[in-house]
Amino acid sequence: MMQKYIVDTTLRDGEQTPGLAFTHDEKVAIAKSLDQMGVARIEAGTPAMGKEECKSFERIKSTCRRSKIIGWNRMKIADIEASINCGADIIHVCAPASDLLIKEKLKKTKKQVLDELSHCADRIRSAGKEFTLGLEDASRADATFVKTLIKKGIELGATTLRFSDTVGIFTPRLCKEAVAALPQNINIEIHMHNDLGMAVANSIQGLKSGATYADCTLFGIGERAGNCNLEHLLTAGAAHFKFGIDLDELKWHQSSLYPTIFK
Amino acid sequence: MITIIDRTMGHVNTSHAGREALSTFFTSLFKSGVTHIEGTPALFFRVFPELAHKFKGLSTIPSCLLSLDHYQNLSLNENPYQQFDISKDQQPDTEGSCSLTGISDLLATDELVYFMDLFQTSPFALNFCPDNRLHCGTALAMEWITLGGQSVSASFTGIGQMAPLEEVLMSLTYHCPDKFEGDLSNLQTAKKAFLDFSQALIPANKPVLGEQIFKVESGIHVDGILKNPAIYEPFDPQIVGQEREIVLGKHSGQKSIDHKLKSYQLSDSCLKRMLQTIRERCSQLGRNLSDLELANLVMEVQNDAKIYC
Repeated sequence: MMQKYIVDTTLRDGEQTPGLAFTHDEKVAIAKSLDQMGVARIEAGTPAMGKEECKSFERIKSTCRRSKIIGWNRMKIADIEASINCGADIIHVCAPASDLLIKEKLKKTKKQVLDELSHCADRIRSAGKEFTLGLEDASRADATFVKTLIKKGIELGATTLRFSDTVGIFTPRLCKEAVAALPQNINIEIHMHNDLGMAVANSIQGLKSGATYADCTLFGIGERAGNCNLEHLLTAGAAHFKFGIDLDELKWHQSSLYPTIFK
Repeated sequence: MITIIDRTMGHVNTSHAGREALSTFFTSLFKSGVTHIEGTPALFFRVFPELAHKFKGLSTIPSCLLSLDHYQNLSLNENPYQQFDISKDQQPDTEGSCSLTGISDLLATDELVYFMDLFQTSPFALNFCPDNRLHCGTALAMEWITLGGQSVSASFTGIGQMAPLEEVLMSLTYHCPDKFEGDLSNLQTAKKAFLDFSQALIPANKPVLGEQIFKVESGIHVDGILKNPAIYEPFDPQIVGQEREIVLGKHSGQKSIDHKLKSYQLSDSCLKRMLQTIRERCSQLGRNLSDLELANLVMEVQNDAKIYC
């Protein structure tokens, strides 16, 4: 069985579910459970959101013993500084990959994106932190630009590449083709959304096609129809992958966290 | 065109279901692109009494398929499909039409290829009814169609551990528009009728049907949605009979506040103050503010502004 790893983003993408918000104590309790059950990496929040977010981020960092803690950032130096100051183990930088995001949302050019990415990576390197690169909306992006971004990311020292199906339109077949075409000299992480009900299947296929990390959330919470559901992924992948997480232990933690998450 | 068989009726207790709810459900499914609905003749005769006379010869058979004929009239036929459960290791009966069940593992798709080959050489119809026990039902249905499959079964919301029908229909709309036609805005009507007769619960984040799936809160997403909804939406909510809504909460950004509170005509400094206060309150409460709480907060901030500015 192939060894694979879970990146849990309940506290970042999961908490972005409209209507959900966690208090400091709740965030720490969720992180503690994730750490205990053996999640490799915990995306603990977006420190750039401000003082309050930083406070819970710092507490999570000092509470977790095994999991590495990721700080999520837009491609902005101020965001990255906030993550560094909160003590994040991994600084994740989310770069726009699709034309829709680059042109219509950020109103930038591809060259600007690449330049800004370099500045961000420099700042992370000078702080001596691990840098992981996220490609937002990669599933709808131009494949050539995705390659350019990855090449740049590798040059800049990124250790992991997050391939995001931001709006959840992938099928397993498309996911297989996309992941298999990515370079081999960087760890691949897949981030799947459930808009067409295929987040679990796409994650399974992505892992089979060469990804090492899969992003999940407890109960599959997240924007719109949610992210890949951790329990469902463990169930579906049980015959093929080792995640180092016990399904019964996860269920036990989930049942005790249920009232915290769905108030 | 793909044949889509709805098998919801095999998994709900319809003995107390009202005729009207069932009839609305069936009609909305046909409008959404379902080609056949599986059920017992007794059920269809109860819902559409006019069929009882026309198709009385079918009254003793266990399973029927309801469909629309060329003139858009309801038509009833004996269900030709023999169920073949691959997990029970039977030999498929290639002499008749066959519905393949018992496949739940996406990584074992070699089986799909095997059956596709087997049946491509036979003149009989092959339907695939994926099992959703491993949460891959929709994906399996889509794999089957990509391999050349012409017919799939599913159930509304995935009841009975089948591929969720609404997900299959939306995936076909998105990925195979040349093989599928249906107006999915009717799924909302189907959902209401389904809730009426099934007593099932549909989670707020259920793909396609959930009431929460087109709400946006986070500043990053709201910013994108206001510029062009396609940036953070997989498809236009109206396709599935829904609407987008911007809600305020812990993850709101300034643009969400400016947009949502436009009608209050607050000053820039008040709007900034609102963002800060909403974020703080939602973090402390661990939830979003109700409309009433929000209106009170606007009043508080307006009053403060009058006193101090």
